[in-house]
Amino acid sequence: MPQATSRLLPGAVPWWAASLGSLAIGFHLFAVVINSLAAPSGPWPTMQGADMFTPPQFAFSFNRDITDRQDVSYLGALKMTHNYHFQTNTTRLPDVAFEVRLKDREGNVVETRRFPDKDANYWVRHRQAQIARWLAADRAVPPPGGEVVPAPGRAVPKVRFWEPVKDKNRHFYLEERDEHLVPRDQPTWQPSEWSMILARSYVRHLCRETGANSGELVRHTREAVVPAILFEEDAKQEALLDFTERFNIFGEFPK
Amino acid sequence: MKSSSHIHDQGPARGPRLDAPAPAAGEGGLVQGWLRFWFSPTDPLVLHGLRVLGGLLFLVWLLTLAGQRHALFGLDGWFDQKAYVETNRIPGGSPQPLTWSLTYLAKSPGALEAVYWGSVAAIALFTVGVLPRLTGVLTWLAVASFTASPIAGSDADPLLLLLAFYLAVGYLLVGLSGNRSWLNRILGPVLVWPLRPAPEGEESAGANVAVRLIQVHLAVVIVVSGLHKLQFGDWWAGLALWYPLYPPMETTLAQARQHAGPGAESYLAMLNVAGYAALAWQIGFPLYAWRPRFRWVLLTGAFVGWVSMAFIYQVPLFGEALFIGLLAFCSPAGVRGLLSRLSRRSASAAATPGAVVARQDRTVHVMGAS
Repeated sequence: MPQATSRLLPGAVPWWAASLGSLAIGFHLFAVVINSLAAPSGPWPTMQGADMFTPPQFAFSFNRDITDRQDVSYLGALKMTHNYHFQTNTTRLPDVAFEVRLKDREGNVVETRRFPDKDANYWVRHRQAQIARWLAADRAVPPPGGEVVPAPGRAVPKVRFWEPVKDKNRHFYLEERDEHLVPRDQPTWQPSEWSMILARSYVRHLCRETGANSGELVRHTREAVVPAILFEEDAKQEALLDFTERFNIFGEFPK
Repeated sequence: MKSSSHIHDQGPARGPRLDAPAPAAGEGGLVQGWLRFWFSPTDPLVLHGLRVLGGLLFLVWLLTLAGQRHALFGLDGWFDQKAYVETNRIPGGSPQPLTWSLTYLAKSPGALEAVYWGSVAAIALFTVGVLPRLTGVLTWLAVASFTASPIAGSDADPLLLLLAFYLAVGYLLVGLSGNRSWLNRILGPVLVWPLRPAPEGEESAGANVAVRLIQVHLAVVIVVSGLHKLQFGDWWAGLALWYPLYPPMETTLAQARQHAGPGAESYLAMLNVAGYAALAWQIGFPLYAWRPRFRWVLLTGAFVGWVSMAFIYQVPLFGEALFIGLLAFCSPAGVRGLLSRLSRRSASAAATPGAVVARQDRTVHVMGAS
């Protein structure tokens, strides 16, 4: 401990500075702790399945009103808004990669790039893997309530969701349908708006870099290998299927 | 260079001071304990050491991304200007905070080049100890700016920010008081260790504040992260470390089975023990971190964490940043002892004529210095 051998020498901090310093240190560390507490927890098991739980109210309110306000955020200014719920704490995650098929004006594929790029250096590859993870942040589509009657002169809201490609096992494409036509008899998933923004942006970047006219982005995912396979002498066909790659075609985006 | 020779906070009397002899342990109550913990002047060598190692880490981080600097940090890169505009329209807000960055001011590739290479230069100067008060703030601005990407953030980024911020705070506080000119007070010391010797007996309360902030904040990080792990069944089952060992895209079931070998149960039991040890190290951190006799537990855990994060989790810089930050718990006397041993060893090696040093596949004859 650095201070074990230190003494309070002549020339130490004046009382006023110590008092001000104490207030500043106290507020700062309190803000850091409150920000760590003001994070949703979970997923926890509930009667309706796994669900996230809200953060403690006192931490959430204090963080929202004092330390991480929308307008003036103390922690935001210091770039200390991370709540230390690290992504690597969740170890059982599917592995994600993506490829972009770059096309010319005639629609011919001129180049295909896969990310994370095995030729990129370790540090850049890690950043590419982070992008791939964001692309996999799908969310469940809420089941349709009933028939929707649009307002006069307005269209029925549409919803995008993953639909299996016919005759191609484990391939999915993005289908867009009227809200009330979303399948009710099966869980339906869709990419988040954030994933779509990211996909479009990355394709635009590659088009700028290569001179391509457009790019089709395809996400590859493979589920985590579970330890249970050690005790399965002959892996069942169903289990084996779970470990094969899945392809989600985000669609073609212009430059 | 006169200014550089005064880095300890010895100024004229300004009201009552905490200059009473150090009370015995437990004496003085909570307030005295708090003041002793935060404001006792201490040898700034630990802060200097953290600066050098932290600065090297920041340089490695920034330079390894140099080949992709425009793609990663530019407004026409992976996440372009249009994407920022679209993100602002997401109902409920962005899942990743959009924060400030100096790179957003760089509207052209040339301006980004200037910001990037200027940042590298500032970090390099801070690392070697030139005008640390100024270069410390510039280093923090650089780290904060180049970690701003909302899509390519890494778990290591908050630790880099933590180190950069408290190192900057440390050098803002070191050398504030004392009998010196205003210019000298604003600019701070011109050169610090290792460019200038750090004599024994030099002490600074500012250095103590910075080192203590690193210690306490890291303790929060480690405990919170440990408690977060308890939200996942895989950590309770002791199987969390299994998954990073077998990345699904690179491992087949046959390979995983073969790697585990015939004693699958013993193998999993070993992973259980390792997983629980990691949890115990994290959640119990405040119980041993400030006790010198358990320093080896702290440093061994930090080293194991470093190696596993880099080679198993494939997360660069996280383990390194944590390990460097945890060196804040080392005593100045220990650091001084280590440095003097190293300098004695290098001096004796240099003084031996014709000393032979094997370096990889070739042999280098080091001529002894007189």
